[in-house]
Amino acid sequence: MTERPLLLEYTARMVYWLMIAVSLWILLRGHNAPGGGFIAGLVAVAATSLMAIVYGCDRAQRAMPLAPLPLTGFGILLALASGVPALFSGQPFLTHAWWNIDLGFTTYKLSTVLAFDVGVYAAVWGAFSLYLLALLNDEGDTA
Amino acid sequence: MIESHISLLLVVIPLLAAPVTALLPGVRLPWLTALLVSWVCFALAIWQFALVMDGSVISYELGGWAPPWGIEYRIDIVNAFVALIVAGMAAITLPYALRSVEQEIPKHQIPLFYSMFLLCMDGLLGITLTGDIFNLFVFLEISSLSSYTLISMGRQRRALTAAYQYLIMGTIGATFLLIGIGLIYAETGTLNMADLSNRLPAVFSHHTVHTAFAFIVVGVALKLAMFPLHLWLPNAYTYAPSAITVFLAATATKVAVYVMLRVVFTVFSTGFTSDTPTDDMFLLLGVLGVLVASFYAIYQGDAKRLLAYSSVAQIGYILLGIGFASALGVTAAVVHIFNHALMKGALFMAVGALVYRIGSSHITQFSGVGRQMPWTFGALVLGGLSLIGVPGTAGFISKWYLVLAAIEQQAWLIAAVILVGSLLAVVYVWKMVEVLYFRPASDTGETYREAPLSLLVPTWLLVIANIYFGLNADLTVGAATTAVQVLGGIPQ
Amino acid sequence: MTIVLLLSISVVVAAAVYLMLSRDLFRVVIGLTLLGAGTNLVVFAAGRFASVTPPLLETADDAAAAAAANPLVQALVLTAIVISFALLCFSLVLGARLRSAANSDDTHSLQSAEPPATDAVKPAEIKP
Repeated sequence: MTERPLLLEYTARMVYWLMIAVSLWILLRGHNAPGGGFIAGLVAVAATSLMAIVYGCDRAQRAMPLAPLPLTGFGILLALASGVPALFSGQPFLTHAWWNIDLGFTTYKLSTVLAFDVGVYAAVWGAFSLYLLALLNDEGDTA
Repeated sequence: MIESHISLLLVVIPLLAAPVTALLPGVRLPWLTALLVSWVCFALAIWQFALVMDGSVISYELGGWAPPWGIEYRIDIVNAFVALIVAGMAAITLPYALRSVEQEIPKHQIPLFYSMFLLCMDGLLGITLTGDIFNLFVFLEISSLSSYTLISMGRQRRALTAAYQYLIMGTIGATFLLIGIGLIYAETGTLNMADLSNRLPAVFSHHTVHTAFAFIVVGVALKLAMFPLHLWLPNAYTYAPSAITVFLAATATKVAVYVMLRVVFTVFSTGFTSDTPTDDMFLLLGVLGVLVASFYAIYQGDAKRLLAYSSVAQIGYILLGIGFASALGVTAAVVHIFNHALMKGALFMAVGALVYRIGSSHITQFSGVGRQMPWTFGALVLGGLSLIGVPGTAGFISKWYLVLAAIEQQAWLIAAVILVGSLLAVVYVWKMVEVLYFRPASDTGETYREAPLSLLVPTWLLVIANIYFGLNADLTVGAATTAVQVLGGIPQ
Repeated sequence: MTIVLLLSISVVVAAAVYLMLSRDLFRVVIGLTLLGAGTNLVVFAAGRFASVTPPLLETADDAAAAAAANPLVQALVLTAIVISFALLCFSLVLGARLRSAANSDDTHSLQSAEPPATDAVKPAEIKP
């Protein structure tokens, strides 16, 4: 690539973090309002794809919290593990527990469902980034 | 505590282990994890089978949502039997996989391979254990996606094409299944299979339900490689890594047959026999499948491909059993699910051992190798005898019941077809045996050592099981007879 | 409204079948995805479609529930979308690998998954 898209490069970094922030917001509001782990994960993948297109796959991968495959594994593990505590209290798998946290101005409903959603978020971000980076790398090889 | 969660653990343990396996370094560690998980699952499957042996039903409500609203795992003897086959075949394939996978798969892909293997096993177990038809679709897609990945890992470039073909056909099949599920949900408002079997007979005259029935039967038929929807199978089995061919041939189509049994006898209990010509269609396609696929098998030059076509023929036998829709016929089908898993497992393992030493599955390369690798050759011969249905082997038991079912309905033509199919099996098994034993070794002077023990022991375990279940059919036929009562919808 | 949905399902499925009959590798994949989308619409239609009431109810209000859309189908369709999305990703990567391995994206030239017709043991190829 001889011409560097300077404007894109400068904005991409800011937009990347903005997109990650938005994805986290979608993740946290997710349970009773529209949103949730899967959609938030897709927004994060969009952010990663922006980085990958502008700066290349390596840089995009470094900007992720973990490499794609470990991130996927961590996500699936966390999502499944959120269902396990119920087993020890004698309830069926995936029965979820809820706590209301008083934040002063509002109450936030904390639950093991959130752990499930975070797991889905990480798994989606990891797995689809894996596919995305594999595809972009292939393009790089053939071009 | 374990006993009340047993069915759940069967699904959750492999699912938890799969991502862990993908992250482990090296070659042995991922394999060891997968091996442990499969053995634990096998033990759990045996335990579960023992619990439902007497015809009782285990119900497990996921997330504490009571059925029919929540997802229910509902285990009776039919599921437990099929889950036992899946877990057992995984437990016996994994020791075999170590050496064969080391040779066939690039080192950096091996952790992913075992992870996908566990995921595939998990999907198949999930299909058998769930009592919710949409959940069944989800597990079907999990097992399919992982098996596409596993097949595409084969050594030759054609593995990619084979995986692509399977992907297209499999996805169309799953889409058909989903359309059918959507339509029956529109009509009944429930997805729980036990609940459906109560509600569907009342509305079966509606065209929506007829359409749904057709869509589901065709979708599942694609997955179980019913003739003439089998076109994906020969390529997929030929080019997949040897261990995967063993596992998929022994389990994937069997689980699809289980889904078919569930759908036609439990879910649409009356639709199959009385309201639609589906049973006649099964008989016709079964007969065609047995004859045409056996002829195709005779003409194959590749041993794995030959066995793959033979699998299509064997599925024809199972379809005949379902098509009779009698207690004897379905018993034969259920017994043959088990026996065919044993014999095809043993045969594909033996061919895999030949491939391990020779590097090719082409029959012309096998000249005289049988005398250099006597144990592998012996396993192939005994597995072949079981495939033909020689008395004293497992294959005989299922064919015996099938012929009895045909005679009971005075379907002499079909009984004749079953015998002709066995004769054709003699021809294609002989074709391999002749080249392996009676042809002189190739003049290149290359000699091959016997396959390593880690390949031979699992192969011979399956061969011995073939003979054991051929002499003592109490377990298989007993389970199948109870299964027929549990399935419902079969005129006794 | 249902008729609009019906028409759109038929258009989507027709387009899917048209694409899947193509010889181009990626058109087939796009066709599969469209077929999945059409199926999702079919399942979607299974829950009451014409309703204007959202399926989220504050309390167990039977009167409101009677007019509400069935929320379960939305959950089912969402699951199906996730699955077909994963499938699309996988088939795109597989297709890309296949194209770079075979140097072609024409499904006819990929027929080479079949063993070559020169095999001594295979009967002569029957031309369709």
